[in-house]
Amino acid sequence: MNARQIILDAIERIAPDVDVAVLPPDVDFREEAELDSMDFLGVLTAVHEATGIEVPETDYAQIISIDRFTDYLSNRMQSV
Amino acid sequence: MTTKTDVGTMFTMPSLGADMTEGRITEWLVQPGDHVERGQIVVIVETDKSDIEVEVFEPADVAELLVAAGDLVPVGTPIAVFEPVDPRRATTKHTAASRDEAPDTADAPSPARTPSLAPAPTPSPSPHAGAAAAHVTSPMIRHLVDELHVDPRRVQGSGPGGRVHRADVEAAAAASRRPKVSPRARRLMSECGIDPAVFDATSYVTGDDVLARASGPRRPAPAVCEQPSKADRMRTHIAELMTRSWAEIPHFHLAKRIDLGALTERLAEANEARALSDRVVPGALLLCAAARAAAMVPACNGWWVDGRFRPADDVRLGVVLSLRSGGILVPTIDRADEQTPFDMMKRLSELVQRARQGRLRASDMGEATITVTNLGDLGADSVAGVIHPPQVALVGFGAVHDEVSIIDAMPAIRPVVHASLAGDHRAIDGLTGSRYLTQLQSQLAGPLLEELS
Repeated sequence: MNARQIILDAIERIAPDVDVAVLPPDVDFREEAELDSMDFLGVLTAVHEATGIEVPETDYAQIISIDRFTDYLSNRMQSV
Repeated sequence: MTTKTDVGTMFTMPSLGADMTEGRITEWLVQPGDHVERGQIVVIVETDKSDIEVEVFEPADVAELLVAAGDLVPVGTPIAVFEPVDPRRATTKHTAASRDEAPDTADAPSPARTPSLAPAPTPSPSPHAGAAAAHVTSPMIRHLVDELHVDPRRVQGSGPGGRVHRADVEAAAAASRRPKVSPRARRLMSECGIDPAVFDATSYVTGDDVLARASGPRRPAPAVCEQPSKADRMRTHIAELMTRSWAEIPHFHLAKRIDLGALTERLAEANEARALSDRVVPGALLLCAAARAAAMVPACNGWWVDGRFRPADDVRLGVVLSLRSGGILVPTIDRADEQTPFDMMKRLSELVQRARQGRLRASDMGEATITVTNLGDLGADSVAGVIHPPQVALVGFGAVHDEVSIIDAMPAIRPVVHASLAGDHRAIDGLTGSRYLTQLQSQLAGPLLEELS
């Protein structure tokens, strides 16, 4: 499965009221989807379950938008 | 929750919170003849606040269900009869012991099954019998309703007696298709009174789009719904509680700005070394600090009843959880002052997960001795709260954010949180409240900081 789909599935699982298919890819998705820190941790946990990849807190700044999160995750998946 | 009789154990409608007087059985998860284990969820009860999963505390066999799904009964009404487990099948020491203590019933007269306790509740015709929501009985259909985000009130049942089939739900979902909107956009629409129909149905609507439209066409006033939805009932419940609080309780509010520089630094270090599932968010630390401060300043921890303050023996922390769909749930964390930050985080995650699914457990609904509202990292900077009666204090936290502070006579940018205390002036004074906030601050600066390493 591609990185973007994994991320979208994770967001949808934590926030079922969000229509992820049309979530703008270039904005701060935490703000747009109203994900607080607990929700965000839930998204990262779901991504970890799907890929085995853990995002350290120090990398949070790199994954603010869906696009940037996708780039980040693709790179990490390739280097595994 | 249970009453021993000579024929078995009466399982009664539990009180799930001090203000609950009645509950509706949503769904039985067991049938007569089933064996239930300790901790097993046997029934789902709907209260004004939420659906609540009720578990049993001892193994038993289900003898009879006395109240059908859909019926509303007062707290304390027997709803089922459980037979104590056959000692040969008993799996825990606890059960064996309670069997031994049970009176020998061999020569006791055998009265009819507690007739005074268990009048068969007459199924009164529901005033809302025509409404479809009452007929969404199958868990599968309810799941579908949730999955498709369909308002159950808008589903027309085509089956016998208005029973809802899968196709009915799908039809309702198709009928309610609207432009895609983000949660923030949806909230802003409702706040600004903007009709979602003004947006192109094929586009995605963000919060900024709504703000740009905020002076545009307004939505007509919504039609009054005949049957209150779950969200409406929750709203009514919150309205009643808050109105009573504001009318009865002479509130005073105190605030203290707390520097979290050292704590967030230590937390980042701790989280770096921990797996995702063990990471702690600052909110969990704030809950720990609030609970421990309550234990140190017991005058804030208890209830105002019959004109005097009754201190509680332990700290049961009410935690306000905001639901994404609107409204709040306030589950309770027992012995919150004894939890490590890591335990607190685990408990908090469980509660958030269950609250999100709209299904708390009966064990989450103990009576709180003090309540905390934490606006979270997306929230406002500070909150002056409203006390949940009969408690005498409510602790509030705004979002952790950066501010300019004076450190060693020099300006520095530091993460801070504004902590507040709403106090019942009948029970406590400003000095007590200040002492509480000072305790809270020292918990965050001292013990909790050390426990993180």
